[in-house]
Amino acid sequence: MSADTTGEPVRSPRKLARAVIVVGVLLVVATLVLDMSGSAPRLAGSDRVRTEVFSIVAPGGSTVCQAVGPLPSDTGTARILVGTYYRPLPPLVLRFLDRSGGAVARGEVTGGRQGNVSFPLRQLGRSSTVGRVCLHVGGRFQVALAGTPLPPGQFGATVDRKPVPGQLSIYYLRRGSASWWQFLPVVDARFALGKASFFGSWTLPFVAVVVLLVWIAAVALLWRELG
Amino acid sequence: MSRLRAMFAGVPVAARWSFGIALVNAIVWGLIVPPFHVPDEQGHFAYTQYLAETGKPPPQQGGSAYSPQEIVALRDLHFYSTIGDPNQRGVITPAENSTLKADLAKPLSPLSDGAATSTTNQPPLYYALAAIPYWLSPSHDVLSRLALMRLLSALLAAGTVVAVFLFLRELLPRLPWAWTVGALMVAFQPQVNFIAAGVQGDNLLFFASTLAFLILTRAYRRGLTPRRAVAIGAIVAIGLLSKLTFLALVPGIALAVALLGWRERHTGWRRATLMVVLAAVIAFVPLGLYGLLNLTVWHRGSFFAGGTAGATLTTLPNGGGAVTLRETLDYIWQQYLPRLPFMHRNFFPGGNTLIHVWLNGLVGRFGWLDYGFPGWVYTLAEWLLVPFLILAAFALAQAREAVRRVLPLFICFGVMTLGLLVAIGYAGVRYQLSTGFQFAQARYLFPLIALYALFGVTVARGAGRRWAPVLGAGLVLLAMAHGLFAETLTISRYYG
Repeated sequence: MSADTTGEPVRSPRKLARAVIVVGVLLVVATLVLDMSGSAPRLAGSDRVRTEVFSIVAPGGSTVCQAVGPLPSDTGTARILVGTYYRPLPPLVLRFLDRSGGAVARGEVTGGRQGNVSFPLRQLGRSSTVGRVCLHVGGRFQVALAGTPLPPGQFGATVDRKPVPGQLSIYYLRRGSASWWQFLPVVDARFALGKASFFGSWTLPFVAVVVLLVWIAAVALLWRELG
Repeated sequence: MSRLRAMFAGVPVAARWSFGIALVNAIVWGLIVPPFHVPDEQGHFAYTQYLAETGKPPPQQGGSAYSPQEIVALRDLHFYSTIGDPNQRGVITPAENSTLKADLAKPLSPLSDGAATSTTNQPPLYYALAAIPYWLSPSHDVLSRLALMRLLSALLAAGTVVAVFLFLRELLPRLPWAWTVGALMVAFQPQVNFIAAGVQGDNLLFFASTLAFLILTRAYRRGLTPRRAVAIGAIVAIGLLSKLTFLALVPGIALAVALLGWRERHTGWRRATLMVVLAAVIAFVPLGLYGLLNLTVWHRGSFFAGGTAGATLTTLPNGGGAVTLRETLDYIWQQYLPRLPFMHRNFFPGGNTLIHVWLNGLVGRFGWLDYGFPGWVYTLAEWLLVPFLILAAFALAQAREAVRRVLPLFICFGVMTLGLLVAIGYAGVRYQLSTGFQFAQARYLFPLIALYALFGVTVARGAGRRWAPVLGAGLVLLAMAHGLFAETLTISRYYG
């Protein structure tokens, strides 16, 4: 393949190469800004149970309960994956309880279809005191709830106080929607956690600056070699 | 020493810049991806920790695979609830972080029993190298050690990028733009960087494989000398001691060395044969020593410590019967090409594996294959592949005279490629029939990353001599954008 260049070196249209570089960088920046400006519900946390299968089947009129950790303070909505066997969604009431059984937060849904069901929560107490969650299934028909199955003999949730070999996945969403720009302080705070703290709370800003420098270096190299 | 300095002085400035860019970019990825979230990183860390603490590879004989330090770290990081579910997060509150730090500050043992994991049956070279930052870490905290060990992978990824640069320079000496374009395409490839982000033995495999492409090309163009024979042998030895997957490349490399020896016949058959033998001895003596140590000193069960067991399994567990030759051949075919009517078993019900497994995997399937780009990105990649293939075919047709000159070498590269593809399929059918899970992942092709870069510059060359650098610039910017949005995607996955 080297023979195609055995003749005189060809002068490439340098200006066009440089134009491609400039336009490309501008396009990427514009796309990034646009992407980060999109508003959507953002995660506040979860009960740490993975959605693997429909792990619990709850009959109509039953109540599913399980132990959970504290509710994140910024939670506005709880989300559960519910299967109804293609029937309409029955009335569902979700309650977060403290150790003594008092309601800390409550949400209910009436009507709708199977799938991810969001429960807007009304705060009734201090979210840090939550130790248990209960979901009451109204109507006459059973529903399937997503979560993680447990090995035979191990129990997670209860259905009408009877232990069942499965756990329920619950995802907590923050109140309202936010763009990534609005959510950036939260991402910044989270980014520094759960890893070696060489840069502390400056980890994400440090990464952003280094990414910028890498881009500058790569563009400079392209400019020099191709432009 | 002066020879080494002269060798580095001969490395072009653009290659050094490419090295720096790739190194820093991989370090950034290492900061973005949370601890242990690179595939199998917890196993690779456990191997290194055992080796660093005891001076020998894990014996794989029952007990615990992970040290108490690592077990506590994985628990407090919510590792097992986070992998596989893109809506789960790791540590995201100060309270969880305080618990993690407090638990890791306790006097926990760094020693495990060295029980088997998916990585313990591999040779110890990468882990011996990773033990250096493990020991050098000023903190004995697992997370600090892991962060420093990740730098080794970043360094190897940057080395791979330079090897790509030099490979292209060797192959296309009069197209300087192509060297930079190919190197930067690899430097920003997000799937490469995702693996380079973590403690992962594959990084040494990718580096050694790329060096093999480089040294074979160099020897093909400049002739086989004793030094180059030594270099070929040493690179093969490094590859074999990094991961036994490298064995799949050996038939192609052996063919290339035989070809190189044959091309040297004018210097005398005796000399040519000696150089081939020299390369072979240097390549395989370390592997033999490793096998003997497994059997006699480390007591790791067998010559390869079980490293080829997955690929040579003939009977499935739990009475699953034997894996037949026909099943193996059907699987290997279907892993890359559409199923033919006479193949009665459909191993990939998802359809076209070339697109769904390999192309989409190259575009990006991150984490424990639990998150990726929105669907339209993969569709766009499929559409882009069509003009790219046309441009590449056009470039090859235009350069057919030059292609003919390097055809024997590329036949050897073809055998290396075929060896890898067959090895992936051979291990894959046994894994899939044993576990029910699909085996293939795009990263298994990264020993061929030099050819990925070559494809990129061939596509650019398809635009014609005049416009090739322009398209090359566009391809690099596309790769950079691809990498950047993969980074933001990863940030949103773990911290959003």
